[in-house]
Amino acid sequence: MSKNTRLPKLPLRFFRWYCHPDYREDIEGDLTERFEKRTEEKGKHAAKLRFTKEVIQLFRPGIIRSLDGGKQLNHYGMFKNYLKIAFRNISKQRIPSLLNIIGLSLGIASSLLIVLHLKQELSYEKSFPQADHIYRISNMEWANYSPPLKGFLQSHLPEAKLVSQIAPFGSDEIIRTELYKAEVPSGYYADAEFFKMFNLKFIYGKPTDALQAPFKVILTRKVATQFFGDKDPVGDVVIFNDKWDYEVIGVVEDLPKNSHLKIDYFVTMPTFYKHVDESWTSNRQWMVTYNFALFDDHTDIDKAHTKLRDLTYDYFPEATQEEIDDHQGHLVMYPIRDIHLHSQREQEMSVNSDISLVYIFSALAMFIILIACVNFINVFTTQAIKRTKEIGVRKVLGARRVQLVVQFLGEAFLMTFLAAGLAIVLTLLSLESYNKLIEIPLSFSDLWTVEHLQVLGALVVTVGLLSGTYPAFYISQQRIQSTLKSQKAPGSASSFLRKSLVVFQFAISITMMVGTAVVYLQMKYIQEKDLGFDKEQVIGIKFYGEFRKHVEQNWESFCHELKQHPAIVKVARASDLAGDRLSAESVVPEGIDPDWEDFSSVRVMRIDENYLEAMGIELLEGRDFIATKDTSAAFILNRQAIDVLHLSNPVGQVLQNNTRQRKGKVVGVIDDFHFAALHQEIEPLVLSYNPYWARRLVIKLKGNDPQKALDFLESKVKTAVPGTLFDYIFLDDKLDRLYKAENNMHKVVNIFSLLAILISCLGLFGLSAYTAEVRTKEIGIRKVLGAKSMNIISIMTMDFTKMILIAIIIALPMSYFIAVHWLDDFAFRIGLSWWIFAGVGVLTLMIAWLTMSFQTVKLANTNPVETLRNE
Amino acid sequence: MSKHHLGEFEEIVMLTVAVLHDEAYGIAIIDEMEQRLNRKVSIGALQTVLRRLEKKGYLSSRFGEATKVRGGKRKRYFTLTSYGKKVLAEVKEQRIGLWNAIPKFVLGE
Repeated sequence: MSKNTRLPKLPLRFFRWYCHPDYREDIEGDLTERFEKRTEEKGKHAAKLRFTKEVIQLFRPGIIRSLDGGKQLNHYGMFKNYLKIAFRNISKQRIPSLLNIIGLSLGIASSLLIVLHLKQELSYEKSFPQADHIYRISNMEWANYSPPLKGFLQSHLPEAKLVSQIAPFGSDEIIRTELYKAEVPSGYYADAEFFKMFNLKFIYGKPTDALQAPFKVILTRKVATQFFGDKDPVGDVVIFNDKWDYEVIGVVEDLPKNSHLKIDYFVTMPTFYKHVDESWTSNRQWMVTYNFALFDDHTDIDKAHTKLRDLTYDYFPEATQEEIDDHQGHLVMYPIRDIHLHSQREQEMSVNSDISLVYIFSALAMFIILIACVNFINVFTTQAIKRTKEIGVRKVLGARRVQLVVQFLGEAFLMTFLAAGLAIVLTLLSLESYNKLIEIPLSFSDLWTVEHLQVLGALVVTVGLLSGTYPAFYISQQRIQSTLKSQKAPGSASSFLRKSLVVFQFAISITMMVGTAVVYLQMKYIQEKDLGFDKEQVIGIKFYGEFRKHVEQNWESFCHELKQHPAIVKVARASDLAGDRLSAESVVPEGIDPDWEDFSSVRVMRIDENYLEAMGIELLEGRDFIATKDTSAAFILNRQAIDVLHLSNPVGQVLQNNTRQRKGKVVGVIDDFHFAALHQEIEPLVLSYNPYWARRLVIKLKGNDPQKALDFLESKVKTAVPGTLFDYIFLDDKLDRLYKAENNMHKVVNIFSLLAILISCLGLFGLSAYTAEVRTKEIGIRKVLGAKSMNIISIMTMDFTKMILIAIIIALPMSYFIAVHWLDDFAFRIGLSWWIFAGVGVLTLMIAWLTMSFQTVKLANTNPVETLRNE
Repeated sequence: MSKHHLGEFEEIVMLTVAVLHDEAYGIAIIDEMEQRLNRKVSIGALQTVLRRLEKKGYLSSRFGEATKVRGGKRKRYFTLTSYGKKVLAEVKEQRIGLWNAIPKFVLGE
């Protein structure tokens, strides 16, 4: 063989690589022989080509070596067997396996959702790089503080690197450009330091000096796109309230969703000082600004902490230390990272959540995953017990215990993995509806972060270990003789553990169900409670810009005009709606020294002569306001206010409002009504006659078609003041929003307790199926001996019924304790009557019986011939 | 259907192996088939069938001596096992049975 007739290298190597070693030699020989012959006949190139073709044609299943390689130096084969057996078992015991996987994946999916939700809650302010060093400074009671605080801190608290101040910019303003107009809810006056402190990134414009100038505005990206599209709006003008033209000097990125700072645009701080009279801005009692301080490190923070208390005395030079101590009015600093979950002060910037929700949700997540694990353990063990013969044979053939443990743990992990996969799908599918439910934006991408995948991984490993360990060790310790010989079900020893697991599982489910019931009843109570006024068919319409002036000047005619519509019963003006946070002011009987501080502040609301009638509030004493008579200030008080002000004969008494420097007579007394959420006791309330301070119309409707009246109102408002915004709200909707947190929790608890009981029942179903199978023969004999179907059902159900009764006994005190604790938050709450608990107990039993009946009824009705036939 | 199903190509391969008697190795079989039946056979197709037949127990194989030709590789010779012979005989019986069952006039004209 000459050198130039060598076999082509590459195909040859390929052939040698894939070919089964047993066949390699002779087939290569055949190939070579052919190649040599062809070289002679047709030449080198044709032969080579042909050779390559033949090598490729040989690449087929019969010839290719198996993937494992020829030699068995490891346990791959054994693992392959385990895997095969695992899948065979899953498909053989299809229903229990499926139930198991579904139960577990439901558990994992729910906890995944909750974990996502919690992560969102705990991540507040995290996106600000310096968040850990920013503190809000105010006193113990209020979230905001008076305007001079910033300057004061800058000179008296050198530890703070930066001090920033913001103040709400009249939250009802419309902002418009020549081309476009809309209401933008949340604007704040903000100083230059604010942008530095919170590292807000400017997309357009890079204002430095302009931040110190009045009448400039900085938009967030969202607002900028809304008004200007994609173009750079710097230099453009936006108009507030139809009268203030402000220049846009920059656009910043939107503030993160997970921040208590919900701000859509900023107006430069000097504007505030131009808008507000100096007598106000220098008022040290006027709570209006939010003040933040940034510190370098924790030593500075500690120093500032101790210093602030004494600084309060310097801030109020005219007050004595005792007075400040008495009022607990000391300055304190509050880490902004804690605001969302811990701070519940007056005038918070947004509705904050509560750490107790975090605890409740964590507990929910834990419980659900525990229930799912318990399920898994139970069903998996019973499934494994059926396989004692297999284990016996494995042992006879020399399997060591470790190998069996590995086998069963592996199977548990396999199922857990399948369940986790399914759980991810379930989570993705349910994320959207969950978002809608709780109104917290969670996104798919949150699910795929490394951190979260780690959580998922940890969850899978924990669940796998938790649920696989017991069955694995329990099964593998069976003795060979008993496993091979016995017809009877092994494992009565383990049944104690299984039973206690069932008890545990149901105890948790019952607790959750009681919780659901209590939350439901309380929410219903809130909705149906007599609030002291009629919340149905009342709408509030906000005054915008010129509209307010129009109403003020043309009140009589405008009012008359509106009343032409048959559905409009009453038109009134008021400063606030029920459910708004009313201003707290100092009102005392005349002649009392205002510094005499024995009177707590009262809530004040400004109304006109029609308000009480529109709201259906009845007078107890005196009279309603009369427009022509009450030209100077006049007050109507609720009972609480009379108690607080120690008035024995209130009507006719002259009161003075120290906050507003006004004096007036009490003309009437009303009963207490719930003008705030039911979390709070009813506070003393002073209704002051002052229609000029009204900020909205309050309109009482009748009839079944409010939409018609609304259309009518809108057209009237729009013709009166062309171009204004018509913004209305139904009072009952508004009141519902006060309980948003509870409502959200209600929904979440609802769903998850439903899931918990569902998962528990899946487990119960699996277990009862197992018992039914084990006791088939026994039941057959009983039937032969004359037992009726009912007897058999009761025998079969008895065991589980006992367990569930024990669970009820355990769960009730637990749930009672939790319910009482939760209801403590409400000043007005339902009583916990016994029937809630009894109802839940009975319900659980019914559900459990129903679940078991699938098995028991079937078995009880089987002809004993069927069950006894084969031995 | 009989329990020993033989594909057409399988049958031909087995017959060829029988024809070649002691000399039946890969290339020889191919050459024989190409000569007698006038059909192209690739090594890949043949080898797969050979291995399959061997696995079924119709054929057995042994290595020959190493020679200097064919790059020093040994030849693998295939022979029919008695089981294989039985199966072939059965197939033949079936065919003949079929032939015999044909009415004379169908083919006779």
